[in-house]
Order: sequence, then C-alpha cells, then structure tokens
Amino acid sequence: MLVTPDLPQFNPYGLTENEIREKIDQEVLQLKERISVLNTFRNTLAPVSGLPTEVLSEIFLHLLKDTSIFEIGWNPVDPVTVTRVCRRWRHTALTIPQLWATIADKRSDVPIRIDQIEAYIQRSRTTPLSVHLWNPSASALGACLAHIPRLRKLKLVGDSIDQQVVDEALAQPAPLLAALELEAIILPPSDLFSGVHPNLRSLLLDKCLLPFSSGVGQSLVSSAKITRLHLIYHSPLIAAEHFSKILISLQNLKELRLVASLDHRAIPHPQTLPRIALHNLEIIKIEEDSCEVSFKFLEWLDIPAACISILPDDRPDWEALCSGFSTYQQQMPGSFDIRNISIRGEPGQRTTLNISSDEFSHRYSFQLKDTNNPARRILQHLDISQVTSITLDSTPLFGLDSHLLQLDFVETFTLLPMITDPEDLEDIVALLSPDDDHSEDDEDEDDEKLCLFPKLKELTIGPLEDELYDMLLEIVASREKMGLGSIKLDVVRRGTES
Amino acid sequence: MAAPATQQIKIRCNDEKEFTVDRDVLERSVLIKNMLEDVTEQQDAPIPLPNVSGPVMAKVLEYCTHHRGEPLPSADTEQSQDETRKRTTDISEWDQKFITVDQEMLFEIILAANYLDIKSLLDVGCKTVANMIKGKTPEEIRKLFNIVNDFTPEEEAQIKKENEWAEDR
Repeated sequence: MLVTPDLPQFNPYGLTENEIREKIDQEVLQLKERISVLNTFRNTLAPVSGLPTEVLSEIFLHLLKDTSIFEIGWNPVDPVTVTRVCRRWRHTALTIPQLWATIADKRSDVPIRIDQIEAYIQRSRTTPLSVHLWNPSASALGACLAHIPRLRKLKLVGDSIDQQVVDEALAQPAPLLAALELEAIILPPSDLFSGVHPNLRSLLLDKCLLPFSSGVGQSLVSSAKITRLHLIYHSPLIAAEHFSKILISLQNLKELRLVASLDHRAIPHPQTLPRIALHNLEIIKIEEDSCEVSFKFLEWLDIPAACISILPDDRPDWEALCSGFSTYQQQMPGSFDIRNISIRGEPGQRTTLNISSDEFSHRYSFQLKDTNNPARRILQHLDISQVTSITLDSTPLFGLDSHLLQLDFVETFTLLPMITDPEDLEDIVALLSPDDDHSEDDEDEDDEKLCLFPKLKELTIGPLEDELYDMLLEIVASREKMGLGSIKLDVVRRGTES
Repeated sequence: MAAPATQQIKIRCNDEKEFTVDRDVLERSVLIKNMLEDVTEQQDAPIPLPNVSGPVMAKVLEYCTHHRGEPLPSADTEQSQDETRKRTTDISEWDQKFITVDQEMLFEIILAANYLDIKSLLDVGCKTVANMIKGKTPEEIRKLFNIVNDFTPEEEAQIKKENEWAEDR
C-alpha cells in the first residue's frame, strides 16, 4: 500500500518555489551524507575492514600486474575498480602512487582518455612511469611525453604517431628510462633524449627509421648497460661496419634479436674482420633472413655460450639450413656431436628443429614455415650418428626408417606423430622388434642386423590402437629376453589417455 | 655426538591457549625471533601474544612448520623490490590448500602474519584476497566482503566522472 509521507513544512515564511526546491535539495543532501556516515559505520563491522591500511595497500599492489607491461599477456586489473567499492578503499587506492604509474591503452582500439592520463600522472606523484600507447593522439602522446624525466618504460606502437610531438618530447633527457620500445614508423630526433639515458637496458626498435650511421643511432645503442636489443625490420638496413662498432660496445648484451634488419651485402667474410666477442650473450635470434646470411653473421660472432635460434624467411629450405649449420658447426671452435634432436610441427604452421649437445653451451633452435614432411629432409642433412635422444612430435614420418636404423646410440625416443598414417606407426613398432628381419631388402642377407635402437631405454609413443599396443608390449618383452635391456614405456592409446 | 635437541619455546595466545613449539619454527616470525634474541637467559614463562587467538595461532604454526628451514626474506631483498617489482598472484599448491579457509579466518591469518611479521604468510594472504577481487565489479566485491556503497554525494559525482574511463573499455 502506498502511503504519502509526512512532508516537512518548508514554506512557513512564504518562500518562492525555487527557494523551496533549494531547501529540499539541501535536506536530501544532508540525508545522503547521513546515510553515507551510517553505511561507513556499517562497513567497519565487515571482517575485511579489520585489515590495516598498509595491508589493504599491499593487496591492491598485488592486483596491479602479473606480468611486466612489455610481456605478452599483460593484463592488469584496472585500479579504478577498487576506487569504486567504498570510501575506505577509494581513499587507500588514491594514496598508493605505484597503483597509478602505468599508463596504457588496454586495447589497441580503445585509447586511454586524456583526463585519465592526467589523473594517473597526478595520482602517481613522483613514481617512475611506464607508458604503453597504440597510435596515440598528439594530445595523449604530448601529455605522457611531457613527463619524459619520470619515464622508466616507454612503448609506442603504431603507424600514425605524430612526428612533431616525438621530435619535441623525445629531445628531453631520460635519466630513469630503462626500457624503450618503438614499434612505429617514426624518425627519432637527432638530439634523442639529449643523449642522456644512463639507465637504458632494453631497446626494441621495430620499423623505426633510425640510421645507425648517425650519431644518435650509435649513441642510443652503444651502451655497455644494454642487455636486450631487438632490431626488427630496421630501416635502413644495418651495414656491418656500423653494426660491428655497436656490437663491440655491447659487452653486457644477453639477448639479441634481428628480424630482416641486416644488410646482406655488407656482412664481411669471417676471415676479413676480427670476430666480435659477445661472451655474455644468452640468446641470439635471427629471423626472416636467408640461411646463408644468418650463418655468415653467426660465424662473425664469438658467442660460446649462446643459444642460437634461427627462423629463416618463409621459403622452406631445410637443406640450406642444415648444410649451413653443419658448415658452421665444423668451423666453430669447440665443435660438438649432436646428441639431442627434436622436430616439432605445429599443424599448418611452422616446424621447429632443436639441436643440442649434452652441454648447455650448444643449443640451437631453427624454425621454418613448413608443413610438408620436414623430418626426413632434416635427418638426411645432419650428422646425427651420435644422437642419444630423438623427439618427433606432430611431424609426418614417411621415409624415416632407413635413417633411424643407422642410429645405434639412441636411448630416448619420443614419437607422437599425431597427423601421420597409423601404418607408419606400425612400421616403427615392428622395427623395434629384435625378431624381425629388417634386412630382407638388403643385398647382403648374411649381415647381422640389429633391431631399431638397440640401446633404447625410454619410449614415448602414440596414439596406438589396442592391437598395436599389445604388439609393442610383446616386442618390449622379447627385447628384454634377448638382453637388450628394459624400456620405460609411456604410451598414448588411441581414443584414451596416456 | 648426538645432535643438540631443538629448543622448545612456549607461547601464550590472547585466549590463554598455550603452544610449545620448536624454536626454528617460531623464528619464521621476525617478531618472535627478535624477542628471543633479546632474551639472554632461558625463560620458562610463555611468550605472550596478545593479538593472536589460539585457533589462528594453530593455523599460523601449521604454516611455519611446513615452511621451516626455508630462507627468510632478507631486508636487502625487500629493498630491491621497488615500485616496479614484478608481482605475481601465483600461490603454491600447498599454500593454496592451507589458505582455503572462511573469510573471517583468512583475515585473522593476515592480521596475525602482519603482527608476527611473517612476510611470506602475509604475501600468501594478500595474494589470496587479490585473487578474490580480480575480475569482479565493484558491486560484486561489495557483496563478497559484506560491505556497502558509502560514498558521499560529492564522491559519487567524482566517481561518475571516472566511470567514463571504464565505460569506454
């Protein structure tokens, strides 16, 4: 039942309508404030309110990020959310400068608003800032770059970044800047950071128009402090003579990635220029260049402990890659035997070949966009006679048997072809049998032919049909009986779990 | 020669509940560790812990016993974790099971960890609460923690303005 409330008497003195409205608004406001006070008191009774402010702050900081702003998958909780819960949470959040020190477009199609940038800059007080913007407007870029001396990380992505703002803003010193990523067609100003960037350690330039022949290019990159350098589709291509000057100064470099950035014509013959020692390098990735260029470049470097990763251009060319690698392997000091080989395919995508010795110092990774039976061609072109571990994952098997039969030292074999004909699996299982006559096609029938992998200790295989699985168990038992040692089996059954 | 027996320490909680615990387990708490270092002579009287109840202390001791022997975070490590430090909300499997308690107990454990100065336990508690908040709207957070919107009209107006930041997203 609706009841008309008892309205207070607002008009005992003959007030106008507007004056009455004002009075009512005032009364409502006072009531709302009173409600707010009561609700605040109610909130103090909740267990969460027992947490001291410093603990609540710590909880909010844990929300901030799981990964660095520059990592894939970066997805922080928006700090604005916690400011909308209650008064205490809002007050606490607004007094944590670190919570507001990351200014980023959450998605490339939703730019951060200018008033939000300004609020974050104000709330973060003097905390070093991380800025990550996609195609920012001139005003957004200007608002962030006005604080260059406070920037710790700067990432700009896009093809329509205002060059004029860049020219003006990036000329200021950047004393705190530790990471700079420019994925943008921009020309950094000639007085970039006024040459002041003493803490720069990580540099990624993608499509950036920075000539390394220029003073600014040399000054930016040539710093003993730089540990991570990525040059992607660099323009103009980097000539060896300039790159050598840079590399020599990068004595703390740990990660080097070059994507189609080398001037092919200018890489010197390894014997004409002294090799460049980069003894702290942990990973070098050369992508989208020809195998010839990649290995020529590698031969020029002295990188004893590096993990080399080559992702050549899109033309499938395993022969060139494997023969280039073999030549490289022979020419390098401390050449080694390949002990572990792994070929993994991503259906319809790339195939990755990993090669390593037993030592950590020799690990190599190669990728080609190749969906067409690369395993056979790879194994044909590498000296794998000493290999002890083979993994063939999601790569077709056709024609492998003759190569595999030559390998006497294999102790670990993983075969998860997934997309192959089940008959191929059957062939491999049969080859493991010590009873099978694998030499029926050989001219010399008297040759004593051992079964596949006589020293095998671990076998991961599948998916197998029940019948083939039973056959495998029998083979394993008969190998054991013949003194070939036991095999630890990990079998994926067709249609079931391992 | 037999290894020296681990020293046993007695503590008394605010509900008079007493525990006798190996010294190395108790020393996960920086507060107790400092107290023990300050006491030169062997004392039989239990250490009073007026801010912790028996049931909560039992949980804290379960945590300390599981993690006994692990290195304590040093002051240097904490200092080096500046404002840009990489925080994660990952919690180990055991810790996750341990901290699966009702909300009241969770906050009690956090308070006890804060009071006893057990950094790693405080971290586990804070990460757990952070994980509870993640992905929720302010209204869902209020419901979760039994709190209500208590903003003044003035604050409401400011929040309404800021909502435009989130609405675009």
